[in-house]
Amino acid sequence: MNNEKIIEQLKTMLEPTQINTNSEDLYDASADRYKKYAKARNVLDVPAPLAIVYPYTPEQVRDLLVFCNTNLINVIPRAGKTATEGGLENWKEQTLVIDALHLDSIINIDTYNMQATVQAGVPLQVLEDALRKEGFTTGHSPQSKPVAKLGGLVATRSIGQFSTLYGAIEDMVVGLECVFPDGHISKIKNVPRRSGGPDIRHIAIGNEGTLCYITEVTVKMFKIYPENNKFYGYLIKDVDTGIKILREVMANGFRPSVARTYSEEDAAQHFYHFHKNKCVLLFMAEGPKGIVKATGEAIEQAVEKFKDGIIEQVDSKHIENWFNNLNWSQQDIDDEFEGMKEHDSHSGFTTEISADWSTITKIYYNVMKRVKEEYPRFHDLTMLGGHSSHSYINGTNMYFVYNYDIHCAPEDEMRVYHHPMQRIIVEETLRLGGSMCHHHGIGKFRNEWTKQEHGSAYYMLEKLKEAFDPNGIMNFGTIFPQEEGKKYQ
Amino acid sequence: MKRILILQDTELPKRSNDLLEVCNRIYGSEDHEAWLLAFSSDRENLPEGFERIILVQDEGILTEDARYICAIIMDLYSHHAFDTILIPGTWLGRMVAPRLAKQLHVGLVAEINDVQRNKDTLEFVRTAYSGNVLAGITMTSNPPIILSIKPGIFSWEPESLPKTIIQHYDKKITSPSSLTCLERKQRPVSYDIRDSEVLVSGGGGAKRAYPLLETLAEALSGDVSASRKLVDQGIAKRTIQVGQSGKIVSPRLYVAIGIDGAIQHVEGLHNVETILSVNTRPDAPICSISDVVVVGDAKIFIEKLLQKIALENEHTTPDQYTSDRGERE
Amino acid sequence: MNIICLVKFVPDITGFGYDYEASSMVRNHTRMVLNPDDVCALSFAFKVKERHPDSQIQVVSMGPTTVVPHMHDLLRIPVDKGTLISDPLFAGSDTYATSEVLGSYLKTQSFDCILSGSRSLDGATSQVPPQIAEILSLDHMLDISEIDVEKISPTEAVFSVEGERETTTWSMQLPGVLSLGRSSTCKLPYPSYADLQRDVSDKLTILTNKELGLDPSHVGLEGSLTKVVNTYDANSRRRAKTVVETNEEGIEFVFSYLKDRGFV
Repeated sequence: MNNEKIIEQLKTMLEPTQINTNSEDLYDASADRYKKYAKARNVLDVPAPLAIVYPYTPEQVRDLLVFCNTNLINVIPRAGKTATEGGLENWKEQTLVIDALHLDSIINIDTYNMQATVQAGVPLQVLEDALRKEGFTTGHSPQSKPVAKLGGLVATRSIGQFSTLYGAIEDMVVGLECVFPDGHISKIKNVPRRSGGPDIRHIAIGNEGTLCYITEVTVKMFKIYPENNKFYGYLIKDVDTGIKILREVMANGFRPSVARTYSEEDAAQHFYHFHKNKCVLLFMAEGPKGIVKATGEAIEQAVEKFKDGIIEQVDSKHIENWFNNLNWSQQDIDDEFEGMKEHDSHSGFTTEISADWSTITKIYYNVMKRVKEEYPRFHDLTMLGGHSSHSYINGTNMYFVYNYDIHCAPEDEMRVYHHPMQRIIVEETLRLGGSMCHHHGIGKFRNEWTKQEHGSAYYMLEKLKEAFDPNGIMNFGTIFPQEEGKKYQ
Repeated sequence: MKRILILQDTELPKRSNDLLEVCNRIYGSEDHEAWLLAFSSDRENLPEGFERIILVQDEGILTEDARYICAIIMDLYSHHAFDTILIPGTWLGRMVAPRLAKQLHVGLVAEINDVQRNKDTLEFVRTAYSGNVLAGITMTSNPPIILSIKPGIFSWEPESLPKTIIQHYDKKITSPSSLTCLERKQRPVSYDIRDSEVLVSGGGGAKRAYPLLETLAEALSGDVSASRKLVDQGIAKRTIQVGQSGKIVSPRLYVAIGIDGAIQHVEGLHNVETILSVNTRPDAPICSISDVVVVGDAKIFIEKLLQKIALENEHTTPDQYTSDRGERE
Repeated sequence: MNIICLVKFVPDITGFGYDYEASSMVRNHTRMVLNPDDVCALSFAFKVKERHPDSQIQVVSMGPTTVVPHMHDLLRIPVDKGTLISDPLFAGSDTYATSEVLGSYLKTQSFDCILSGSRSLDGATSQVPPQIAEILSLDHMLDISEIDVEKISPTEAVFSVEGERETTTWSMQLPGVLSLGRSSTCKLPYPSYADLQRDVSDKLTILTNKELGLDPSHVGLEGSLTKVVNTYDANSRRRAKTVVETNEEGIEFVFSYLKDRGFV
């Protein structure tokens, strides 16, 4: 089917206002934040989608998916548009972006049963604000909160800044509704727990738009006690000390809402007003008074146990201030875009991995060593560091952060600067048994390692794709490696 | 008796005597006299405090020609063997001093902002690493000492005024230079904050005081810039925005008024010599990187400081130089 | 046009940290960058080359061999020829000795024009270009804001200087030395992706004193006529910020603080 015909057909299914073919919007829809620099410089090398469509109902989503499935048109599901790993990038000449813009109602806030049901296009901030009015929170707070939407957050297995207490999105989703390429609509009911076979929520959670389109989700809600919040900050000798203290607190059974360790370099860019060129360790405890008190004591005990590695305590006000200004707004994103146009530099590129307690620092130091030894543009790096920001009973994550001055054509930036760095990080992580993708998803630029990430379990992933998307129309190139897409990598 | 030659500051001729303070710092109580090399076109603005002013007849001569000025100084030096030659660190001075040092085969400490006397050694201090480090430097070459002086750092308070002898320099010196001035144009009023030496910058807390920033900037011979907050609110233009998404600026003085100092803003400040912040919150991040923190309301601060500046100017503006010019000539 | 660009790689001071305990600058993460003013000089050289494709650009720098990757980057833009003057003997040269070393090399070269930046980020003074002009008996101009690319020829350059109160336009006979001031709009061309991988080492000449043959007592620390005997950290004042209020005392303090530094 040719492009004109596709648009024509869409017009029979949707109102004209639901079909967007504005060329600027299509250019914007052809890539996500992964290629933000090339995008800002107007040198994107990928094709633009044919249209962005905005369904009003799950049934419209169903009709669109069936249409695309029948005519082999690539579909990129989209909600919120804050993806960072190429999940929203387009690699096909015929692509439809299905945006959850109008799937925007809060269906139910059930304060007695502590669960809220919303459509996929509800911004997390909107839900959070609604819950806050009643004294509750979703407990989910990624930096992208003001912009990101529930459907996207669930589809990418997102995580928030308070995950150590509230868990990541997969711990919050009670049930959901999703639409498959063949038109089947599945609704997973909202129950506290069940043993009804494998937990099929996880087929939709984190599918990154490669298996189904999520239209509705039900998430847990939590009581909030902002008046009890307590903050702790320390300057510490090294990353090791920080990781050891994080482990101590977690292993002893406590759940601070924030538990982080920053390398010197990363600390310098986040805490410029107090870092003194040292690593930074920080905690936030929240919840009912007794829990905050107990958690605070546990933090202090853990710090005491490793006091040889502590340089000094930081005024907790600094930590509180920093935390209150952490999220980006749409304005921040726009400003960053403008900034990249003016300066030839790229700030805040990241690769996030995870591993158990005994492995995480090995990965960190191996990466630092390899970058120094073999990264070809080392002399352009303006910053290289990392932080651990999400801890679990058995391990934690490491967020590698790097900035560089760009001395190449904008369209070459990724392959000249980012990919060689990402390769070192991913290789070292996989070699030592960690996960190469802690919370941004695999997207399109780590798919060459998907098989290695999953090992023998990749079989299960592959079968899911074969079963639910036999025609391969769902988000071509994301998660599953594609020979045809390599030219864009 | 030590003899010092000072090249006139052609940009601010009257301020040339500020360099007398450098002489005092070098020689202290030791007997010394200072001569000024000045140009006849500035005869109305001759400063006081010099034993002798050598007035170069500059009609038809390019006073911006560094090679020509060097030739005159070399000629004077051959007759008077100065112990020290001080050159103002202006655009012209920065071209003259290095050449002169080369011709005299002596070291040069450029754009000094301090002189330290340690026992018998003289240490000249200048900034290095764009203001992050101060370096104390000594001369290992034989006299004369040649220094260029950072403008606006030293100021001279007269104790007793010597009688000034005006000596006309009529010798025809030909410049080897091919430099020709083709055009002179008044500088347009529009400015680029990246080039500003002084910035008065407003943030979210300066909303009410914003119109006053311009007045303060004028008083400090600077320009107005703003943080993103004011730009977002449509109060300031995006072209004057400082920060990650705005411009990176390197003024000598940055007056941060009502600016919180988020990292995105601070990233726009590179190599700023002096930061003065005015904030109602003493614990705002900007305060920890400021040299001076004024805790209080922006509007009140600006009004009071403007009053103070106006008051001081009243005391100093009467022209002290023209009144006694007759006596000296 | 045959152009020589004098450039310097300087520590990127924005990456400097300050160790509050040891009260010293932390330089171990220091990265070198092309001095911003020199970017403007080189960027103008490329403008000339764009207009007169037969122009040749040679970049001349003096510094440690650690800047070789940066020199290679310039050769990939591409600059036609790179010369790095590097010898442990030259380390510690002050501007007098530096200009002697550079001058001795430049005397052996033929050129129509030497371009440089006006100031260097690390030293912040501008002595080397005029001293080189003096050694070569050439005219020189500092703080040039713009050179007229249409009017430049092997025998003459027309350029303007933005002063405090006026903008002046000048002409100067070439060969001569032109020093450009920093302007944020200066940008260097990008190397192509293929060029980024290319081996350009054959275009870079590294000269030591063996080739230049200068008297060792005239270069390096020994040949310098000034000596750094002390460093003081200008940043240390940042810890001792003075906090005042908007009362009379506070205003008086601010006023004299500004006055002492020449701002009022």
